[in-house]
Amino acid sequence: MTSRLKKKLDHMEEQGTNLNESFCLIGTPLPSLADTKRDKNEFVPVWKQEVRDEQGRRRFHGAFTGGFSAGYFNTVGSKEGWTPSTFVSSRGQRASKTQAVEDFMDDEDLADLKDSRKLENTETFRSGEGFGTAAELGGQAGEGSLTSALSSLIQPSTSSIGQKLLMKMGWKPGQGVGPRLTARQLRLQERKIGRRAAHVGVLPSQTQSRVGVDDLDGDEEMDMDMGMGMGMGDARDKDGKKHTFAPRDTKLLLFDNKQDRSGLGYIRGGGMNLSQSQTQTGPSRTAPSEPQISSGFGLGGHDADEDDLDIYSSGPSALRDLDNRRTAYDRDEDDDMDHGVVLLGEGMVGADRNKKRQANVPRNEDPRNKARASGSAGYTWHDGRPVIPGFVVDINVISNDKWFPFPDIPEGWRPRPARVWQTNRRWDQAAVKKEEPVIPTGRNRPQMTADERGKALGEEQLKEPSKSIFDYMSAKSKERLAQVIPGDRQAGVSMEPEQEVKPEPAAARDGVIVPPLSPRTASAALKGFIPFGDDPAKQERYTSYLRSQTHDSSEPNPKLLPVKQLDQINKELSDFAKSAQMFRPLSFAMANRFTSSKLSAQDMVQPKPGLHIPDPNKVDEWKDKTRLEEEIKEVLTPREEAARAGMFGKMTRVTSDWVPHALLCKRFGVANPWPDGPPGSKPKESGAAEASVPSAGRALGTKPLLSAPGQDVAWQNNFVHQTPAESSQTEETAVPGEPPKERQPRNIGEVGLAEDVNQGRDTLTYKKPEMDIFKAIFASDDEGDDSDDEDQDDNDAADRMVIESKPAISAAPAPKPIADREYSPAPPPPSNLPIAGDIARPVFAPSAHRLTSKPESDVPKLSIKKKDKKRDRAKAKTMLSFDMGDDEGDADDQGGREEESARERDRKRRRKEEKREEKPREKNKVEVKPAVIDEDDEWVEAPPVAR
Amino acid sequence: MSAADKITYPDQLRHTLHGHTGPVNTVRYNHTYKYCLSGGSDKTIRLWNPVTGALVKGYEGSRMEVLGLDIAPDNATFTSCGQEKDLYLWDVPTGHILRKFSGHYGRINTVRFSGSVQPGVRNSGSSVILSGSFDSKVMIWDVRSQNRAPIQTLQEGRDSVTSIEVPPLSSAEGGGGLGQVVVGGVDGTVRTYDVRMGKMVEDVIAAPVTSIVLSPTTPRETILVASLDSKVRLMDRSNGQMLNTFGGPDNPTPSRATFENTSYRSKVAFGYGERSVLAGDEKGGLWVWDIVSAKTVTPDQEPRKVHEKVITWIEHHPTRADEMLTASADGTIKVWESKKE
Repeated sequence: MTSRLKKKLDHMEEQGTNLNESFCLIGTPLPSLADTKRDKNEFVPVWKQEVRDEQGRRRFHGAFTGGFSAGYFNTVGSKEGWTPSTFVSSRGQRASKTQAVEDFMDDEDLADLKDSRKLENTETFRSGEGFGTAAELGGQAGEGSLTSALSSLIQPSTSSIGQKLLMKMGWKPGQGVGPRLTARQLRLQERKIGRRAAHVGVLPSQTQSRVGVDDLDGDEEMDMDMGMGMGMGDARDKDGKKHTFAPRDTKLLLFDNKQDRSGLGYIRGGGMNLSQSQTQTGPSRTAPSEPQISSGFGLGGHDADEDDLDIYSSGPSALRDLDNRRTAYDRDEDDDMDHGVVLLGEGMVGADRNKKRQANVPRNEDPRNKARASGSAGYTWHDGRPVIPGFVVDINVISNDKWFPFPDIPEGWRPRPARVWQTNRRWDQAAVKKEEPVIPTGRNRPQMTADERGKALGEEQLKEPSKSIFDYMSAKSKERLAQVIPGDRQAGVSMEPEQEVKPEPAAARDGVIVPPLSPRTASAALKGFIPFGDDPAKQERYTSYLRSQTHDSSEPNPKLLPVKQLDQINKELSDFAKSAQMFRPLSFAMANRFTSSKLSAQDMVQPKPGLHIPDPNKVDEWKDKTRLEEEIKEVLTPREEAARAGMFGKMTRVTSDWVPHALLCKRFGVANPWPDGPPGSKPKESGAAEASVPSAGRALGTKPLLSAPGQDVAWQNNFVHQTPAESSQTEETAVPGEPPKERQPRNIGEVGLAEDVNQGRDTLTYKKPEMDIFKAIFASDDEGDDSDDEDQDDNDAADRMVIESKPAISAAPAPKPIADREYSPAPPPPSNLPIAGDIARPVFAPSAHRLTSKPESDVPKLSIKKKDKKRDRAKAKTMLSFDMGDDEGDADDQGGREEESARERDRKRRRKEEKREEKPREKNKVEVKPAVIDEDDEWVEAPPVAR
Repeated sequence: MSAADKITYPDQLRHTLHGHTGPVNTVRYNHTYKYCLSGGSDKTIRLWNPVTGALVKGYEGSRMEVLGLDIAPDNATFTSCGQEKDLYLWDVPTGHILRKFSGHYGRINTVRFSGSVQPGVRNSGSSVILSGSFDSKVMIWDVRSQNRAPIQTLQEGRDSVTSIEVPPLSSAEGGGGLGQVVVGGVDGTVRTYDVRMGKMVEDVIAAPVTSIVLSPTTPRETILVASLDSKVRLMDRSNGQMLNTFGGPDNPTPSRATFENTSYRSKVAFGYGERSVLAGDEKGGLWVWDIVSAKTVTPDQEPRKVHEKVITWIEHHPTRADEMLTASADGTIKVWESKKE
């Protein structure tokens, strides 16, 4: 048995697997499962088999390894483990927990569930009846009323959301949409609907169905409306006053898509000689039975008093009818309440309404229907000839504009625009009274001069009248010019900047032609130079002519030359006109450009005709001249003159105050020479900022070698964009020594850093809080003195010396040069003496003293020295100072701390006394100082007093 | 004048350093005086060994021509300036630009490390850079701060700043900084800013100053001022008086040729031991004057033509009498040595 099994197994291994066995005799066997779907657990005993889910996680666990799925889906051993992430006891509300199927689903199931979902419109929002594609609707329209009625009976009544909304707003099925109407309005509406239906030949099926619905509803109003019939209008009018009615339902306007390629109005199957009767019974008629119904309805809708409307009439009434055609949704301006059905069109603008009107051409209102509706009118010409079949005479006749004949101009009438202008001016003045700005428009603008306009506008009047160029001419040349002008070269000398519209010259009576002149020119010429000074009579005639051409033509007819010859008179008048144009002053803006010349025209260099050949001799002359001018321009200051003369020394030397930046002092390793800020006595020379203002003494006239930009602000502004806020911003309080312009330049390196110009400045001027604060917070009493700011510096410096110096420092009493890096304790000065000026280098008490051998006598000396130092600094800032300590701004803040120094001094004195006892305890503190020199903790040397 | 007292200068050409493809604008010794750094209009900076004449390293990265150079006192970095209005701080071994300082509106003519060494403070001499620009300003930059704005801007100048010197204390006085900045500019004024005293001293030269050179031994007292009136003046800094004048048309030298420097910046130099003054003219001639008598010491009292074009920079070895560098607009740097005896 075992051998057989073994043999079988061997055989199986030879074959690969038994799954490869094929028992198919006929047909194609299914692809073998051998390689792909081999059951891994095939030869595994049951108790060793593992079930894994799709992610490869083990599904079933043994009882001791977690049981089914090892906790909640393999969470055993994971972070969640057995503990629920949020455990909420359900003891109090046991039954309230409702379990859903999803609670028992794992991720895959949930994903499956999610995949199986499909987003769809609910029944409510699905579009209901009446909404659909054109084909559906067309089908519906074609089906007629019976089918729809039947379907409404059979189908479960579902209402769309729009329907629901309408019903919530008071709409009931079968009613029209809109405000309630009076009986008369209702009748009018009905008539309109009926009429259109008659015209269109289609009664809206909705209307049909409405009837049924109304009946079913048993609505009282509608019943009355429908039941009483249209003929009983008079009786109903009384009630109609009392009641309002819902408007009639109207057919939704739908349009047929044109789906064939035949021409507009072409009827398939009909020939060219398609008769009208054929057209009426043509195949394209959609609802052959409807006209009867609708016409019946529409006819029924007519009252006796509306007999002026003939539905089937042709001609003008049809025209009017089409004019009146409108849908229920639009309303025109000419609609009064009786007329129109007031619906959606209430808030529309005219343009929209017109558009809508164009768009809302009824569906079946194609030309042939129109033609049919208007009877034979559209199919016959005026003379009775038939129109080509398929074409219709456009009923919207384009009427010609009405032309009126010109009035007869009375004999001898002469155009006198001045009168019109006069009225214009009056109007203009009235406008001025209203204080309204006069906006001249187009040609109607009154012809005014600038002065007049300015006067009208209330502008400040110019002191002197605007000048003509002739004001600059001598009287003699003016006279000469006036003599010349009557000649022919008027066009050449015309200085008129603008083209004026000249009225046509009209022949005056007696044959005198008064040349027209624009009133503007005339009035301007009157104000300007008046020629003909030698002939007063002529001058008078000239002025009268000008006056006649002005606005206020009090003397419309100019004085004429007292001669008989007409041509002479005319010539003089035309000369006057030319003169007026010549001598009228230029506009003010133009006149300003001229100034009186110092030289007469004869003095000016006359250009020589021909090619200019420079004289070589004169070129040198000219060069010399220019060079001379340049040299003259070079103004030498006294200092420069001295320097040129070689008298260097006092004459060429100027010493002024200069304020180095505090940080610069620190970097140069010297004390700030102006710890109290720049000297105020000499603001001119004190700071770098002020130096940008060139002083007269410093302005040098040297020929710039390299086209010097100097301190030209404009030149720099090409590169810098300085906001006014930046330039106005000064921080004199914070940094007294620094010129405020210091950090203004914005350069490309700073771009992108921040918008703050003063970026980084606060680090420079950062003011450390008073040590009192730190002490009050952190320090215990015993370390009070050592944590003091200045003392800290002292210690730092001293420590540094300790580190750097050799052990030989202990006994080196004599002062050494600075270069030696050993610092020795200087003999302490007497306490009553201030530190002498020659002690330029700082004196340090090395902490080696403190560390190693601290004789009792040393400590008081040190403290005395420190005390003196502080006092001295309070008195004179030029003394030894360690203020630069940690931050650069300390030196600047020194002045501000003046008043606190006294208080501090008292406090320190107290502390010093305490310190004497506690000094030995500070050893540890000194020893933990860092060995690395902090570069910012530099010592600073006091300036020498004089050099 | 005895033979021992005869003023000599390095007159034998040792090397001609070819490499720059344009005018060489500046050449500077490093602080061990074993190497020299040159900058030219070809936008490159080159490090040379003047003894062997070998090009050690080239520094490329400047976008426009290099007009000024200065090497930090610790020789680890150097700074360059030029047409592009920015100041670069270079790392000497790697050739990387460590920092860039921007703020000038015009090209930067000259640049200087403050060089004021404070005892006990590391790199104190290279912590401050001064730059003089065409925009007539001197800006003082802080290398150690991350702030990109200058510490201070000296705006007193009325014209382009051509030269800046920071006098150190002489070694006899213990070295270190004097706390002064000397600025020369085209406005014909030499300004001395004394940080320690808070004073500014203006000395009017009345001619555009192209270069100022402090005396190596007595920087507190003596300064050499070259100006575009073809004169080199030796000035007393303490009182502003002129000690001597070299060159110029009214110079009492009997030489036929006259020293001419009217349009180029040509840096002059003190000779060895401050016994002579070296200057180059615009034709490539080298002028050597006795500092006391102001007479030319070149043979025949004629300028020696050493370059094809204008000599832009003369740098004398500070500690050795037998080495000198001349840079010229002809694109070469020449290393001169004394005659071997």
